[in-house]
Amino acid sequence: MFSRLGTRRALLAGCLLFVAVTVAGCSGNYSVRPQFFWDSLFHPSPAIVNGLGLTLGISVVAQFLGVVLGVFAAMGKMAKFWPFRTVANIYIWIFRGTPLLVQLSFFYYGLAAAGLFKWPAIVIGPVDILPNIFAGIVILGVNEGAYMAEIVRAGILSVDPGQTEASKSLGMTYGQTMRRIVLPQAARVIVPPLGNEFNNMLKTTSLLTVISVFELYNTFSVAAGHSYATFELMAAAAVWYLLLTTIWGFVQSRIERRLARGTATGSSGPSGPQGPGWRSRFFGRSNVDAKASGIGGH
Amino acid sequence: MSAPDIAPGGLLGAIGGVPRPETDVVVDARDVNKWFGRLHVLKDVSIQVKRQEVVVIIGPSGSGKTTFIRCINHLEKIQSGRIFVNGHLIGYREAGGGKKLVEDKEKNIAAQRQEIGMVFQRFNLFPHMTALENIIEAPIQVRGTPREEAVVVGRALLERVGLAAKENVYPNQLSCSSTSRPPPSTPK
Repeated sequence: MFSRLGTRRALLAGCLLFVAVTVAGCSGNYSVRPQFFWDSLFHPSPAIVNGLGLTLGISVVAQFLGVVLGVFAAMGKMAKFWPFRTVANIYIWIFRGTPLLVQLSFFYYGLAAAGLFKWPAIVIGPVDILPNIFAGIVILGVNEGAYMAEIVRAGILSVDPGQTEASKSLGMTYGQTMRRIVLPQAARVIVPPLGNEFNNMLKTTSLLTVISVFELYNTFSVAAGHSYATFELMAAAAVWYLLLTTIWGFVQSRIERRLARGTATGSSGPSGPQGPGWRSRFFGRSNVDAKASGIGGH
Repeated sequence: MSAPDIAPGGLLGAIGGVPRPETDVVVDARDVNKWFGRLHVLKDVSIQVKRQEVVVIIGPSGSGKTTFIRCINHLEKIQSGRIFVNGHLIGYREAGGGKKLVEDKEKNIAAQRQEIGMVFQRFNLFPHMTALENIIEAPIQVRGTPREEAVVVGRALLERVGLAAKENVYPNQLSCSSTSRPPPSTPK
């Protein structure tokens, strides 16, 4: 958490940087055309809307896939049966140990070049998914699963072993114990880092440019290529990403409060304090912080 | 629906299965030995508990009381001996003409544990479920009891221990003495 002084310094530094960049951008032959910036924010072209939808859609589906794979990989890593552990370990080792960019190129272009596998187009009801988008979702999801595995494992380990024993003593099977008792409690520990992961995912989708997916970044990149308004358009792209991650921040704090039921922060009654709200999350300052920094109040 | 029947022998008395007709022995431990690494915790423990008997095991801390109870539920492995509940060998099956003990399949052990009630020292209530949800969880998930029926039985049980007003309260909102009252570890 930033202290008040820290926040002011950060703001000042940000302003100075902005001015410096603007001045640098204006020097030479480059003349800023602000309408490119404002138009792509307030009158976005269909291509931008489409790119925004793709970024959001791919992120959600890939993250979902990543969570599912992560749960299985985490359970595999903790399994008694050693082949499960080996498979999980190798999966995590490979996908955490190689760059996503290399994975995308290898699994999309590499496999096709060697004639081993060509990604098909997928039709789900009214939705047509192009091969490169399908490949992008799967590779992002599989990559994400390797990171989620460690997060889920930490969550499972955080649950009191007594909970597993109590479930066992009731005659529950391993699956029931996991699904009904352990994972719901692990979720509380998993969700904050999961929020980080999804925030990352929203931005990482921009790497799909390499397999020609016209998500948000690629759309702006192409538009910049046509108009040479790189400065304005990339600034606008940044604002769109910032908007997505900010909205996600609000959603995440809501989810966390809901999951806190039955715990010290969540059980103080409907009117009681229920964990950090979006204000304290956004401005990163509580009363304690203000006192500690020595500049309380105005 | 009236208050649920609870067998007079308490939790162990409620065990189903086929009792051996010739004896009334419910729990039958024979020469049980248990080591934790090099520490020999249970040394040739034998005990027979008859139907309707209430048995109290007393001893200094660290003497293996809890370990023994956990062995009856197969939450701990034993290295030698046999434990029977209602004539069923718990946690193992005999191999090599009854000379060797092999650990039973998880599914079979889970089925045996359904019949054995246990209250833990730290209770181990499920913190993400209310008092009522704690009680109905096992009957619904393990026994396949219809939810409405489980709720009726669960409410009756809460009423018996004076917690009827607390059915929608989470364990960490209950007072210390109250937490020991919901019987979560007794499937029905």
